Amino acid sequence: MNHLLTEFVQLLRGARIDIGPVQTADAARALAAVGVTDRERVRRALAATLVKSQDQRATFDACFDRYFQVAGMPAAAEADDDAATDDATPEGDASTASPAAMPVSGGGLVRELESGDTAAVEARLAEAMAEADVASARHWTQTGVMTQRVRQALDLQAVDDAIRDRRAAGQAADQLAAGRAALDRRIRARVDQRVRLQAEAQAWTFRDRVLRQTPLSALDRRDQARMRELVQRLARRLAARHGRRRRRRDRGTLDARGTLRASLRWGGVPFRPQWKSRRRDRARVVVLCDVSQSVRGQAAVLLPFMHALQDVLPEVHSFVFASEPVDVTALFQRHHPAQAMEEALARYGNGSTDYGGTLARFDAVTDRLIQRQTTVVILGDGRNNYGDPGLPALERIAGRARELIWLNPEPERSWGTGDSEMPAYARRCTEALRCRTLRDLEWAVMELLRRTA
Amino acid sequence: MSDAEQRMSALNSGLAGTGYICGDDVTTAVYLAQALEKPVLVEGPPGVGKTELARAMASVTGRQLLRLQSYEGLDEGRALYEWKYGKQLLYTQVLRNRLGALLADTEDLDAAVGRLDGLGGGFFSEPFLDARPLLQALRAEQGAVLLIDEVDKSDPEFEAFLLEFLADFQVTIPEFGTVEATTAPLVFLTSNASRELSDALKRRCLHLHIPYPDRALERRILEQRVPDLGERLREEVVAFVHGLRELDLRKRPAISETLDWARTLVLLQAERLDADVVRRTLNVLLKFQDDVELATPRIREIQARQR
Repeated sequence: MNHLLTEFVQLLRGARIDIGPVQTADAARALAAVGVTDRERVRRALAATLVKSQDQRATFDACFDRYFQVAGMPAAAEADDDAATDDATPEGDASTASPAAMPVSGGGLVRELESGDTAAVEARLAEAMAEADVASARHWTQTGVMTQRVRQALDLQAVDDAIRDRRAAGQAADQLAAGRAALDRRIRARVDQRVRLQAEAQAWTFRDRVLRQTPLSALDRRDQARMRELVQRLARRLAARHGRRRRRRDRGTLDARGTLRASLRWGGVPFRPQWKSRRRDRARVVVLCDVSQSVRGQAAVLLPFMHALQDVLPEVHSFVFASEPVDVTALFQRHHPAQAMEEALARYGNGSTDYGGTLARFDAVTDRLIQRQTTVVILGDGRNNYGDPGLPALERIAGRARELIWLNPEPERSWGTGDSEMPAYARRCTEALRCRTLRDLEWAVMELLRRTA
Repeated sequence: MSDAEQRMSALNSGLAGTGYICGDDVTTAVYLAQALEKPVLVEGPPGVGKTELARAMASVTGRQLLRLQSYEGLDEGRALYEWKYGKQLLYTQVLRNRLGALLADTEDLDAAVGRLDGLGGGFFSEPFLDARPLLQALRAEQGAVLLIDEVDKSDPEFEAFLLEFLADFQVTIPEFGTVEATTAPLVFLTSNASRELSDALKRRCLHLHIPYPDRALERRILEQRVPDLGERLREEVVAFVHGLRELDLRKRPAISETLDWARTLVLLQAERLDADVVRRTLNVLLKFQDDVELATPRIREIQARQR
């Protein structure tokens, strides 16, 4: 059982659920406490000890269902499988040549195969799979190697020898041969299933890594769901880390007046020093996001991301624009981020980009919104179809805001080529950052958090 | 039926006896908490009975319930112990003469200090210690049920402080040394996930997520808690609430809202759930005006769909 448990934990780790050794030990104790006779009870006990948050639960359940199917816990499918193998053993042979009449050669496995002792064979198979270290497979191409290793661990060669010897001596070996064939089929099925399980978990981890470096605009539909999940995780992580940092900055200086006042309670003895804690002005982040065709991919990631950060970023206002800016803050508050984004794109994403007009309008409507404490983030490629770039408006915005950050999905070297106004924009911003992949975005947001703190 | 199975079903019916109806997930987690002596981190949307679970367990086990409400800025002084400053000060004033007399014949300062030290803990001893919930839980003879409510509202520092407590059920007090639990308390931490808790804390806890109940469970809860509600009305209430939960609401109605609503309907002596009654009482179920406005035009639709 312990072997099964550690292997299951390996599998969960592969599926991105972190589990420490202490938790594994707890899980073992939990199993001892509830018993292993009931599959659902085992599931609940393992879930209570190994899962740490609800978003891991679905993954856990999927792993549980498949692992404990394969590894031979009391699962219905397992029993069927065994029954099928039993049927495959030709019954007729068994009656004509009774095992006792035959000289037994080739060791225990031969005996078990001949007598149809599936439970014993099953135990051997499990042992051999552990010995061959099938769990270490990382890719499905390893299936063949692993199968061979399991065969060796089981010493199938000895069985083959036994069959050959008997046939040479003119004895009946058909039952043994059938048993061996059935076993071989089973080995292949088992190893295949196990490796596939393992490889899939690996693939996810690998895919996440790749996804973070893929240009946001190049994401296809299939990846987008995955990306959203990744963005959510990232946002939560940043939120957790950032929440901590903000607290730390808050303490430090002694509040002399407060301490004196408090000490009156204890006859002037400053029992309890009071500390100064500064109340910060509510900082604010205003995002202006290009949603025209060229920057769509990035916008679809950035905006939901900003709103996912709502917990730590004090106040997020978002505008989208193609030809003129529209306030979509309410839209994002009302709906799920992904849904809000879709709606924003559908409603405002048409029309050609006009930075000059947009910046001028944006400057006018955010007269109140953008103040000393405000950080403005603009996402756009800065390609203006050779129109008026609207630099004076941008200057006014930069002057009013605490800082102005421009995120551009294009690589730096193409800034300024063709109709790109980026160098002129960049000069007027506190910072201009490239934002091509999720990793860039993560970095940019970290920067933003540091500044708004 | 195995031994563990029996004890778990006994626990489940025990909880039901106190009016807390729950599924197997909850029973297993609570059973394991007792068997492994580990705290349980209970998560789930507000109003599904996270806090209630601790209360029910206290009455099932006959232990004392100690509750610690977390908030931003909660510190050890509020959670663990504090010296009774007022009493200390008062006693030093009152006993000034006695102390003076006691120390009168000492030769120098060192001797005086030595004599004071000889008096035992003096003003930093048991009678001056103000035990707060965590310390009370450790010292309870019969063991206690400790509820640390909304732990996600506290600061990360407090969370770190909790680690020692939760891992070994002991705390270190500088003036006293280490205090260990006589009987391991049964600890419940609840969280509404307003902040991601640290992995270290989660690792030390069993995890339990209480979701919105399914229909059968909610029906049983209503039956137990609001028995005056007729069977047909109960059916309609459960169906409607479930339909409501499928809408895109800011705050979905949880069990506590369902119960409130059921009680309201009993008070209003409603016979059946027609659209008019629902409209008038919807504010019991929904806590935001936005939600009420969203749901009102769809009342009939929800009712039709759930039928």
